[in-house]
Amino acid sequence: MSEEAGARRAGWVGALGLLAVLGAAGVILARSASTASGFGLALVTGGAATVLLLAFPGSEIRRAVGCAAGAPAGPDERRRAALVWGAAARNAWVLSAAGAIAGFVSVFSSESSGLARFLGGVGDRAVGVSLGLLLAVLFTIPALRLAPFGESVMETASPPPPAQRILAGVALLALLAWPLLGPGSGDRFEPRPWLLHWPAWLVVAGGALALALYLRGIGHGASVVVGLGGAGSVGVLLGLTRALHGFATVSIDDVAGGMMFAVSSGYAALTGLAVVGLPLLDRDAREGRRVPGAARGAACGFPLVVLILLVVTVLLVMVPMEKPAG
Amino acid sequence: MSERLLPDDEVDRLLREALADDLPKELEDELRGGAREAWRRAASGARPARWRDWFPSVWRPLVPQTALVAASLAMLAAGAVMQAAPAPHGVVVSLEGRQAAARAARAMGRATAMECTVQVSDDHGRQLRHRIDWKAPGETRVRLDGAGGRAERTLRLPGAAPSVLTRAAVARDGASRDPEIEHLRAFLSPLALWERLAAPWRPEPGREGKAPAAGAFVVAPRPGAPGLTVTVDPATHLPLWLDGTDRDGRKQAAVCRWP
Repeated sequence: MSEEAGARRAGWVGALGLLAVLGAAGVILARSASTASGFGLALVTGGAATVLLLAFPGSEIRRAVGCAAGAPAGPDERRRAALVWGAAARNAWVLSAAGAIAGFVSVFSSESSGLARFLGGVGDRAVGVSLGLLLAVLFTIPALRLAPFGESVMETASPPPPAQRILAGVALLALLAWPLLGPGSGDRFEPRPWLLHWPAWLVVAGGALALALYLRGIGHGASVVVGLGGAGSVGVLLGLTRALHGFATVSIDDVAGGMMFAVSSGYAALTGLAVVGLPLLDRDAREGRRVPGAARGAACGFPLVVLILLVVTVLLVMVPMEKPAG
Repeated sequence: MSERLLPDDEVDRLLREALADDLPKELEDELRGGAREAWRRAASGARPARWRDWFPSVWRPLVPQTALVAASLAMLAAGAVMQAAPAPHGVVVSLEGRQAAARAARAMGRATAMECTVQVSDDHGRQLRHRIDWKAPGETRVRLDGAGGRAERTLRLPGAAPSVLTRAAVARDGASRDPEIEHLRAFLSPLALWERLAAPWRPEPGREGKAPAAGAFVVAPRPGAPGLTVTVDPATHLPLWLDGTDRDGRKQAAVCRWP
């Protein structure tokens, strides 16, 4: 009995420690927060929460918080709580990448030329991305603590109520559409062509559908996630190849077209993951189906591909092109 | 022994087959065939999900088996065809301006000398000509042509900021506090000139798509706002002529040489 009380006390201490880390990080990040970073913060926190609400009933999320805080729970409940925390961490990571793209396009739409000013704009919008990464790390800790050892079979779970799903879906779509309405004029980088480049959306949607149909045997959620990750990566790669070729041949048209294709492919795939793929994957996991490693890899690896793309895009825009000698 | 469970109807068939001694031959053959088929299906594993199983049962009749495949192929084909179209004009113009600005910044950062003749109008509308000579690492001589006659100043100004973190160096410099040369601040060094040009660049109207051969850009904080028209040397990417208004709205024109 005293052992159980000790374990519960340790759980509470750990939960308080996590909250303290979150609080300290919040205070530090608040120093760097600005009006420009507000959208990134909203997209990451609101987006991660709404994706979670698309797959898990509110009661299950509350129980997961209780489990992380040390409340007594059976193996099945602990497993469900671990699923919730793992999904929250992964959602924060995916939404961070979406926030990074939106912030990056927003910098191009509003900042004037010059590396210093550009870096200033990036710094202004980096708080949301940093917060997303921080949340991903913090949410992983309870997921690791609650994950049961060995295989266990979960009882069938009921899906979230339709009203919750509809509200969460509408809120998520509004958050993801918000960057499209950013300022812009005929003479500046406008956000819309960068984020809503139709050829890129068509290629990602068509490619993801084709891959998902081919992989349907591994489960609905897993096939959609792998399909979106694969099609998004291919879109990013094709766009970057075109942009780099344009850079080598000093063709601004090709550089612009390639970068738009790559950035838009990244945003399309991340939007698909957040709205469709991740909730389906979580639903499969809640119903006791095993999540293939490829689906986990796609959900965690694709945001990394997007962040690398953004670094390369900054270089392509800021480094002057030069005609090859001769 | 297989661990697979057979559906109830298949089990019924098997039982009937086992008890079929007094059945007619045709029926017995049919039952045996059915039993074989049931065993074969049980041994071949679960049937993979069909595509239309993804849709709610109400929608399934509207989505034929091949519709999703056709839709994905159509989307891929449309995307592949559409991506060959030229990029939107606004994006190309903006990128063109950024490239020109980056090239000019790099060229000005490498400059070792700059000579500018600046023509400005004073508060009474008179045209005044000033001559500015800057030499690396940071000596500026200003010959002023003012209402009270000619005057000369010598200043110490760096040519380029040591890092992106010190771009405000010009604003902090004492030279900017001299009222006689305050209106010339943008031409006192390459760094000061770059600070003046650090606003979005756009190809001059009617010359879009011709840069860098044409090399004329409008530099203004916002489209339509008063700014400078900068003509850039296509070979060196350095600004040669600047014409427009300063930040206070006064007419300003300069000719620069980069020895």
